[in-house]
Amino acid sequence: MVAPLREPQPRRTSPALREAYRLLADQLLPPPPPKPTLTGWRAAAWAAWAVVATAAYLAFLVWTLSSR
Amino acid sequence: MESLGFAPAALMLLALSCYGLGRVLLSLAAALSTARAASAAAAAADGDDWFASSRRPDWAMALGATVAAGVIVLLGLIGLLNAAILWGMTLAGALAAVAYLLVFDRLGKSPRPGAAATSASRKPWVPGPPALPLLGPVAVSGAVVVLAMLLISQAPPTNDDVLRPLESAQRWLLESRVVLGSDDPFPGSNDAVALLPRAWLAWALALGGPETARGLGVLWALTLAAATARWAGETLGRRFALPAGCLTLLAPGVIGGALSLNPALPAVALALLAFDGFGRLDAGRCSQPAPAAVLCGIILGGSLHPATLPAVLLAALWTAARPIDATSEPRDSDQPEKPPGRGLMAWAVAAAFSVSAAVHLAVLAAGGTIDFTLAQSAAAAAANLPTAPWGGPSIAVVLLLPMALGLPQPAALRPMRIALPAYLLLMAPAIALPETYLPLIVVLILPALGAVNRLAQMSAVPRRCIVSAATVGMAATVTAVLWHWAPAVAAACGGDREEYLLRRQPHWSIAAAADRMLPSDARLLTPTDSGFYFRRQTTSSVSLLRKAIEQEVRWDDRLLAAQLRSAGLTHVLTVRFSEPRADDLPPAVARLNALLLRAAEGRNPWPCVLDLASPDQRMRYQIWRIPD
Repeated sequence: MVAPLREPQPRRTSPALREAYRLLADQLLPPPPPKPTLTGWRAAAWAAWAVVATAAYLAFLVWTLSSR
Repeated sequence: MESLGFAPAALMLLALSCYGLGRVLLSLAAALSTARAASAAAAAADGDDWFASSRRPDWAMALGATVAAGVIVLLGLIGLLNAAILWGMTLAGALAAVAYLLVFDRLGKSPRPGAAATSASRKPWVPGPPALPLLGPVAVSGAVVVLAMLLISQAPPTNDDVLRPLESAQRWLLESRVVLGSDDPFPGSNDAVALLPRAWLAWALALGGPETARGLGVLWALTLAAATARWAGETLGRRFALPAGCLTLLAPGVIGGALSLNPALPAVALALLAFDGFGRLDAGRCSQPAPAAVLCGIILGGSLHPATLPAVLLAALWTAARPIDATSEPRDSDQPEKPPGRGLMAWAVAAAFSVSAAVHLAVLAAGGTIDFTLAQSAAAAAANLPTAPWGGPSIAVVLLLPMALGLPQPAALRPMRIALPAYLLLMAPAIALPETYLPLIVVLILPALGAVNRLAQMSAVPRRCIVSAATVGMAATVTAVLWHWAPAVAAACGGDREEYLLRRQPHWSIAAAADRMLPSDARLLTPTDSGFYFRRQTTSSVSLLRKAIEQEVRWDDRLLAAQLRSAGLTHVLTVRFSEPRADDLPPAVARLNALLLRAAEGRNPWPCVLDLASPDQRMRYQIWRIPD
């Protein structure tokens, strides 16, 4: 004989327990990362600068090492 | 030749011994001082007690190394410098280190875990600040560059700027006493600069041979990295300490200085470490200010000579710029109480000056020269450039410093706006000297790290672009170091060491034969720059020529034997090349070599003691006894 099927009851969490979970999560989880403030063309310009500077540095290294 | 691995082991033993000696001194100082219980408790509760943190390896090692070098110099002055005593000191220090690390530190900590647990349960856990962008690549590059430098230093030493300090330290060991300026081709510099580094080199030579002594340069670079890390941690925050140290190790000036055993490197490193201690003392972050002040003074005093004057100037400018900048800030109404460490600063300075005076007196006692001008050492440095693979800037300077100029900087770096231009203005004529640019490297890393910190505020794509570009630049730095020293790396990794020596230091092959053939009191004139591989006393041709110019001696074929005898020489080494090349010998040395050959084979030939061809048959060496 099969037991009659019952609709699963939604779990009820007491508001006090929910608050306790929230407090625990606040303590255990890292805070969300702050929103980036350096964006747009300024950030893109710095990225371009980094690529150009590194390329120049590599060229300088290759030149000095090959000329010795 | 020692088996591979012995030299690094001896180096580690030396470092461990320095640490142990330092710990013993710190314990002694703590026991002797009248401990101020209240301030000790306050500082310990703060968790930032400078004296307790001085148990960290960099401080203990700096103190142990300075005092050990002082002991070695003292032993040298009384003629007792020998391997047995040095080994005894090393083993005593190493045993003390092991005892501290395995026994005493654990005894002290045992009652604490319970207390730590209760305090931890009261305090909520606060997540720390996020890791710096670029931290991983910087740390990995720094570690790889240290390993690369260790590997390079395991090749037999060849280039002359390494051989000269090694030769001098070896002379100390062979004669069991401090020998200064006997055969230095570039005199006039202050011998106090080289005194402590030579003592460390003699120590390392006695423990593990030339490879260990060369590896000492890596320890010096690590000391400078530790000083930078301390400074960055104090100024910007603790999470900046590790990247600051690693970026220091990636600077070509530091790599070149470490691999050429430049005595300015440890001097600047120890001075900066001592200034960091002064800063913490001044801020009152020390449980036992009195011993800490004296110990700081000892570390600074051991290296207080012309090579550290730029570092002292920079620290003074930084200290002076701090209150000037602070006047624009709204001041707190309640002035904090004067920290207990400030009153002791005079004691620290007195300790530094007395130790420095003792070092200079030791130089005078050993017959060295003392000169307080930078100009002389500038001439020596120009003639003896560090063997950096490239003389240019590091990737941090190329990529990050311009970003630091364009982005807002942390408030803690405000003193730099005055200190840095003033330093550049005052030291511009001597900026090519290691003692001038090494403190500059340390200071420039701070705004570079400020720029790295700003990366966290960038949107993801440009940030990844910059991090990738910097990573490529740092990897290129490491590759360049390995590429430049590829033959040394190959020789260190099991290549043919004799073939390497013959190619890089061709006159090495004659040294063993000369030592066998010559009497023990012989003094040989060699065309080599350094007599490191000779056990007999040597004078290099460069040194003889310089003295001849100073004394206005004109060489005369007939009088040559008498002139050489009067210079204290008994034998000369000449060399003939089967296929001469332009860079075989420097022109002046080649002329002297030709003159010697003409005299030795002239009307009254000199007795030939040894006639030997090099293994590749390209050179023919002859040693002649100078007739009376």
